[in-house]
Formats: sequence, structure tokens, C-alpha cells
Amino acid sequence: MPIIVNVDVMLAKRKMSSGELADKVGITAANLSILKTGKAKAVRFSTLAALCKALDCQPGDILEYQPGEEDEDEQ
Amino acid sequence: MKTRFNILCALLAVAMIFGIAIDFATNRKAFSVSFNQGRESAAAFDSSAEGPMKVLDSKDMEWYYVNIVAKDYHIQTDSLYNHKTGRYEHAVLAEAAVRTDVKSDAEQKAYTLAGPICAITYIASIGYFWLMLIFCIIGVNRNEFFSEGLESRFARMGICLIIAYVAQWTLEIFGYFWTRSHISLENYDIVIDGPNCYFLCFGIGMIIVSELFKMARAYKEENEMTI
Repeated sequence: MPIIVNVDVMLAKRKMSSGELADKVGITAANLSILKTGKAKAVRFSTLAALCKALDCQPGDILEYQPGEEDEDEQ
Repeated sequence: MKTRFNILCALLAVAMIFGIAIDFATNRKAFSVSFNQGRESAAAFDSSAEGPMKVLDSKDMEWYYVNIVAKDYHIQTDSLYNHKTGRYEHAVLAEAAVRTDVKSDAEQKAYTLAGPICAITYIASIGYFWLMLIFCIIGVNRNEFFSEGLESRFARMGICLIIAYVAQWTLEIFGYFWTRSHISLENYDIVIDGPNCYFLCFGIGMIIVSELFKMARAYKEENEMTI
């Protein structure tokens, strides 16, 4: 997946644990783990907005596009 | 929901067994005459009150069932006694059992070989269909609704039904050409009575269901991976 989700970086900057973030965003720890490990297929805007609000950042701080990486599914 | 699913599968089994039983009951006379009572029937006819025919008693005499259609419905070639009206009525036959002493030749050998092969193929296909259906029922009861195994089983069930249909047709075609080359009845044309296409439709339907399950599984996985 060419879209990288840099939640770990923001968690470290805000000194927050994954569990705390999951509670604030309203998703399960398992789903947050899916997001962090890059296995997610899609993110809802509502979830993205909740992440930005919890981490006090912009979507661009969490999401990064790397065109060189091929999508495993497309292969 | 699973209870309803199981009940529907049981109804399917009952319906198929009922269909086979009806088919057998309808054709049981044909089976018994073909296998056991050829000569006895001929001997009984020889001595019947309707007038004996000179039937050769030969080891090569066998009953052959042919589907026929009248060349001209207006020509009265056959009649049957109608008890309700008390008279002989103009009748046109659609099927006939012909006892003849056609000698074995290369064509008959091919037909004799094709018969068991097609029969075994048919029975094996139907048996495998039932096996896959039982596995599907077990899988659904184990909550494996969107597994790859379930959709591949549906596809295989569909392929089995199509193979069974092709086996039926192959046997019919072999029999038709062999019969036409050895039997020719006055005022009637021998026609092929192909199996109905329910197996083909059902088989393609099962493959369609398999594709639907595949799409549903892909959408479900994508939905599950949407955070």
C-alpha cells in the first residue's frame, strides 16, 4: 500500500499509548493495530478526523504517500 | 437462520430423492424388461389371445427403447382401445420398445463402452455433488460463511452438475445414432430425447452463487479493513 500511516510517530511525539488513542478515537486496539501496521484498506473521514483531534495534528502528519511501494493486492 | 438453512437443505435432499424415485417408478418396467424379462415377454406375446407373432428366439434378441415421432399425424397407423368410449382410437406413439436381433458390431461395441463410462461419470458427479453439499452444510453450521472453501465447494458442485448433464447427453447421442443405424420404423422417425436442462441451469446457478460469495468475501474483507 503506497499510503503510509505514521500513527506511531505522532504517538511518540504526544507521549500517548495505543490504548489511550484507541479509546479517544473510538476504535478498538485491534483496529488501531491494523492501521499502524499498514494492513488497513481504507480509513473513514470520521476516523481520520478523530485521530487528528486526539493527536492534535493534521492529516498530512499521519498520512504519507510513497509512490515507489507497490500495493500487495495489485500484485 | 441456521435452522432454516438446515431445513431447506433437508428439503432439497427430499426433493432430489423424490425425483429419482419418481423417475425410477416411471421407468421400472423398462428396467425390468431390459434386464430380466426379454425372452419371457416375447414368449408370452407368442401365446397371447391377440394373436401370436413369429418372434425369433435368439440370444441376440434384445429390447431397445426408442423415442419416436410420427411422420404424419393425420395418417392413422396405430390405434388403442379406449375403455371409456368402447372403441379403438387413433393413436400416435411417442416411445416404443422394439425387440430385435441386431448383431453386435463396432458401433454397438462403442455404445456398450460409452454406456458404463457415462453412467459411472454421472453417478460419480452426483455423488461428489452430494459430498460437497454435505461439507457446505457442515461449514455453514460452523459459521464458515465467507471462507474460500465454501465458495470453491459451490463452484465444484456446479461443475459436477454440468458434467452429469454432459454425461447424460453423451449417452443419449450415442444411443440415438446407434439406434437410427439399426432400427427404422414405418411411419415414425426416431428422435433424440435429451435430458432436461435443469441440471445445466442449476449447475451454472451454483457457479454464479460461488462468484457471488467470492465478491461478498472481498467486500467483507475490505469493509473489515476499513477503519
